[in-house]
Amino acid sequence: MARHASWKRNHGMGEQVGAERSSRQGGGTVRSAVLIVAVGVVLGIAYNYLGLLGNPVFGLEWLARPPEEDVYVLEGSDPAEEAASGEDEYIEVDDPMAVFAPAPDLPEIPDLPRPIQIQMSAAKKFFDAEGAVFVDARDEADYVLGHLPEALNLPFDVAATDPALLESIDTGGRPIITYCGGGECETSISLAWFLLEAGHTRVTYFPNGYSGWEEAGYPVVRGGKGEE
Amino acid sequence: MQALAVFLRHPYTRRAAQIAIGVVFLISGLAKIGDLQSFALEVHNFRMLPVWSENLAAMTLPWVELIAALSLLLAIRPRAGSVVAAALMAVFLVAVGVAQARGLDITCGCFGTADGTRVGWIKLGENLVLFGLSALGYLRGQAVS
Repeated sequence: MARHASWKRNHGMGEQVGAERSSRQGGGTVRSAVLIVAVGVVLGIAYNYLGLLGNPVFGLEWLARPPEEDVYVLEGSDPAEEAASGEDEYIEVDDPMAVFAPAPDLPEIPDLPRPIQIQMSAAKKFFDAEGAVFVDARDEADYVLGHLPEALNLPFDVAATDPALLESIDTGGRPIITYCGGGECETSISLAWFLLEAGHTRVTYFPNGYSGWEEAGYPVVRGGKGEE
Repeated sequence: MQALAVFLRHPYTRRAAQIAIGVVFLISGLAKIGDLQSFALEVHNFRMLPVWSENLAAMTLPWVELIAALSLLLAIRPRAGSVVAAALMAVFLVAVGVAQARGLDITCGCFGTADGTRVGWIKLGENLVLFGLSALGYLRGQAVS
């Protein structure tokens, strides 16, 4: 990135420098800028090298490997996927509430010590059957602009500092479905982790978040927290 | 208009801009260097670079910030420091803008993990101001013709 930045500067600012009256000094500025970037890069690499030798190690591996995504996708939460996959993974479910499965057509959420990714279509099934507690991980301002009906608002950064708030959610034995604004939805996954740490079980999230939900034409409501 | 141009090109204005941007880069650089692992994760969350290069960016970028900050604060080739700062801010502007356009819901990691600010319009505005300050630090104090 640093090299890229210096390339950019050379070609972007270089023209401005050319327009300067004293172009010799301008050339010096560009050279010094390249020097600053070069010194930074060298020091960064040297520091990281020391970091790899250090105890404890604080340096980074030279080339990053794709991180092992800690994602468990619920099997069979999508009808098309269900038909395609022949090898189902069986997980022992150790949750007494599982026997009170609210409706037969809802996918069963296993009790795992990690957030479980479900398809938006599965989330919709839970929504229709009121079989899950929906938690909105976005800011209150976004929540007020539009959210899933009945969804609680628990902004991710607030949740991070207030465990009591996390524990106060009454699920009535239902699984929790978190969601965020859209995209990869890191915040809803983080919130899901916080909920698990606070003692909740069967915490799920669906990617695409609120924007995906709204685009699909599923019901949304606008307004504050009062209406729940 | 003339007065504004004189103000923007006044040596004191330039020096103040250089110090301001130097302080910002000093803090952000040190915060990132203090927790490289977290910063590497933030870089990954932006999903802008090929995965293999993310660590190389994460380990060098904070040091470039730091050296640029020292150049600006200690007035050692401060105009060059301003150029580097402006280039970095341009990169950050693009990164935040692209993340915003893609609808990524991520923390920016701009000041290490202490900064939980999420990527959004406010962050874009901040970056734009910092870019402006960097450019100001570069301006030469010469008569307006």
